[in-house]
Amino acid sequence: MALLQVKDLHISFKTNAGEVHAVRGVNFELDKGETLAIVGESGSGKSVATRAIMGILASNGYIKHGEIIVEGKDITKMTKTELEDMRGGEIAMIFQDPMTSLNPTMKIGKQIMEGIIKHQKVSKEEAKVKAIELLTLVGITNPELRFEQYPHQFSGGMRQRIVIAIALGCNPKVLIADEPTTALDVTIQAQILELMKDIQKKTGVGVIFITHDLGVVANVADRVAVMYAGRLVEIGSSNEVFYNSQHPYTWGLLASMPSLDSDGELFSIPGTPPNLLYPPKGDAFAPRNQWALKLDFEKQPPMFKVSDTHYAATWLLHPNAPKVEPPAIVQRLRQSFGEKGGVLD
Amino acid sequence: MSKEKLVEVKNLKQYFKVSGGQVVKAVDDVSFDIYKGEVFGLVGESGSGKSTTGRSIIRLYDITDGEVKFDNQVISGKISKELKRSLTREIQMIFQDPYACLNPRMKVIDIIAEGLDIHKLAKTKQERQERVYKILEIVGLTPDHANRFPHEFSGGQRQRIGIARALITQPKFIIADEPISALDVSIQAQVVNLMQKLQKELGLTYLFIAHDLSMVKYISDRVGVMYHGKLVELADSDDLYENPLHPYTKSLLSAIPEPDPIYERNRQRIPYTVDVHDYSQEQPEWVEIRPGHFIRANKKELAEYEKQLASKAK
Amino acid sequence: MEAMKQQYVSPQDITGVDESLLILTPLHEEASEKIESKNTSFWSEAWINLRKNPLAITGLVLILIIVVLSIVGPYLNGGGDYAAQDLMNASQLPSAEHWFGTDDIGRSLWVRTWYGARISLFIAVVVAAIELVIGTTYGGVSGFYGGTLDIIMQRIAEIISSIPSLVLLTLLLVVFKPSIPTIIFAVSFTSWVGMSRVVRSQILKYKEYEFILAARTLGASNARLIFKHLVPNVVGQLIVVVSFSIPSTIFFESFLAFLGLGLPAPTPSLGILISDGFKSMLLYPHLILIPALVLTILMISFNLLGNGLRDAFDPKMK
Repeated sequence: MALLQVKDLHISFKTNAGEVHAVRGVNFELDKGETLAIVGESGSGKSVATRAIMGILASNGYIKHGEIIVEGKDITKMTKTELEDMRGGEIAMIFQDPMTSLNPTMKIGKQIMEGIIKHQKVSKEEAKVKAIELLTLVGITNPELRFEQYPHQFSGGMRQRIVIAIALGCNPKVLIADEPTTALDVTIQAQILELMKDIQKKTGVGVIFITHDLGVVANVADRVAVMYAGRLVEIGSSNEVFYNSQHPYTWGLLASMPSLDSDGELFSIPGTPPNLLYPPKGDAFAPRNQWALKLDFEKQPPMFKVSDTHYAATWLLHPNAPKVEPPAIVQRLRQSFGEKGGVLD
Repeated sequence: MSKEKLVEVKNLKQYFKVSGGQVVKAVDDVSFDIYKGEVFGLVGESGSGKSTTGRSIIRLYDITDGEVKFDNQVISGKISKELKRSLTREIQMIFQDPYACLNPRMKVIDIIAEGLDIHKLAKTKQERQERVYKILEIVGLTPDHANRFPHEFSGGQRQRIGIARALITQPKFIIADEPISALDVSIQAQVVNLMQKLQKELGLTYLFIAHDLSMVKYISDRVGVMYHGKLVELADSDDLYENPLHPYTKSLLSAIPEPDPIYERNRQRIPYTVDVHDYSQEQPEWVEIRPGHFIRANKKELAEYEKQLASKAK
Repeated sequence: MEAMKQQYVSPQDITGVDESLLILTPLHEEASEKIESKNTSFWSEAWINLRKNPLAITGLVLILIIVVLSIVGPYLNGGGDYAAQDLMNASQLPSAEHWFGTDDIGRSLWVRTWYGARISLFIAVVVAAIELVIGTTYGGVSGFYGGTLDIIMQRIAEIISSIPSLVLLTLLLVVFKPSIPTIIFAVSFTSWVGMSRVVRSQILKYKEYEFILAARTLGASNARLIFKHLVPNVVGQLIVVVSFSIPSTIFFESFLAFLGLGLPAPTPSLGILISDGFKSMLLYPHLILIPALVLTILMISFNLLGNGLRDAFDPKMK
């Protein structure tokens, strides 16, 4: 049984101009010990969907429809107190900016202990031992000494480690990481990603990793969900999405990243994402899609099955749709996979 | 590409006083040249001084020491009013944050026309409007965008408005300070392609500042790597990525995430600390180890790097 | 997993699709750049936000009513002269002849209340205007130029703001007689410091924004930076500060009147009327209740409007 299931989730925001349909029917699930990366640009609904899972939507946002099931309980029907217990307990979250997620006036040891005491119901002494263990786990040297220090005495990368330690202190089953490395330098980013993978191995926590960086996704994800304009357009194992992508939006994302050996003009997706005040009738990506079919403008494509684990919402998968050539980089990725002897799992 | 120098930076130092009487050496003795028509990439992590270098060149800061030349004229320190005026037309800047770089209270037409207004380049209202419309078209927007306010645009569109504003005075040299790092992946390619197109069509020269090494490699002809206020390595971009010599450059290159899961699973990261350099006996210098390939090293390290290059050449 | 499977379709099983539409269509790049939303400026956006706030609108309407009454009120109900005495009709309760009744020397309370409101509002608005001019200039210069000048100007502002207005006014009264100008002078002497602090902090914030740097790289003069770029961004904040400054000045003026440091007779202000009414509160409660009610409504309304404006201008609300 999955740790977390999201079923037909619809989220809207009330604004002066009207209702913004930020998430428009999203389904996914997360298993124990797996990392699901949700990829998409700003406004795709990736952060909104996960904030709904945490129960921390902005005050003008509301869940219009759908279920979020954590360990058999639907959190969209929970009371405020139940939600609070669950938040931090079952599900913990780490954010992009480590400085604003830490209390600047409190010693970091105390900040880690707070969650441990609240969610693991242990004494202060035990909590301290656990907190120091956690500091060691997230790779902070001299944990006893560091325990007594304040956030400003740490560098950006170290702060993000502490934020991770705080999140883990609650013994969560699901960890939501919202762009946790975007604010960090590449070298520090690589360290934090390694740390997160290592922790996952040790604790078996399920991770939802939100990012717009496909390089990071390739590094951390077991499965990948691609979101566009409030809907999933493709979901599958990491290999399936990178080496056998089906949706033109996924192609666009893969092709618009320069690899270290790319030359000539970069592939680019033209235009701008749609305004979700006025959600389009068919596939929201159609106006920016050079492989758009007439039907894409008329009718929302269903999630077509590619394999048991791989689905994509594009009419190109219709048996009678014209065959198209994906961009060169996508073709090269497909080829390289075969050459490396990979098998799509 | 001609080998004519457009920008010459010599021993640039930019120190800032901070509270407690301390001095931060944001840029410490940095020298490089930028040739006409090239894209010069500057990479480094936050706090490496790469943005400060750009801002010092365009005179947003008064430099502490050193010299900057533009078109064979000294443009740092005290300069004449006329020169200042012409520089503000010839050197322009593109900024990082598409949300903070446009005045939220101004219409797009007034934002883009600011250069025209300041330098009184448009004689009539009609001409002003026509020039703005033309530049909007160049950056892929339309005249009906002109009367809107910035908050109605997406990040990529705003960044293109920022580019239009920089282009209106017909500059020769553009400093792009992390122009894509705040944008979504799909939009980054749009902006980079636009910048390349403009460079070819208008014969622009860029200083492209970024921390995204794959994008810098892609767009730049030559790349300089900064670490803690100092340039540590500078070479043609292909050369730098194929033959990195400085351990920091190697570490930086090894950390770039690639959109390829199998490559990622097998990636070996090379860590870097300053402790790998032993500068107790001899101080490092800025040396041209191969034509066009500069490195900061002392004699002992140079010998080591020579060996590496020799073995690679085989 | 089962629930999710229902969402998924095998390509073979798809039915009910107009297959003639399965053809590629060319890309229209311009279409994807279109902006659908209406063109809204900062001010219209703020007005829309404000209109949605019933409390703020109530405040605004009440303020407008009081302002109108304070202008035309004194000429209605047979009035015109706030000092006209009618000893024959002294100390009357409200009636058709005297809508708010009369005081102990037969002056129409209707006329005096609205004339008093006019004077209270006048003092408050002039003080706010002085604060705005001095505070904005001082805070703007201090924040914009920064450095040593900023440090010196901030120390001076601290010294000025530490002078208690009450002590200052008492001293002034020794030299000059209490009058509208002396009260305005005394109140605004220290109160502009608050405004200057708001302006300075806003300028310091916006000064580092990239749009200011962009204007500087284009060669914008300081005057252009200040008036074209900084001021328009700070105006929203200034309006909020002013909308809170007006009621606090009205209150301070009433407070002075109550202490006997107010305007000399027979000039009324809301504070003077309350202070006079207080003397005969038990016998003629309407003499204190009516001006007190007007004062209260005015204070509450300005506070409601101020809060509403603050929310309406808050960019986080967008």
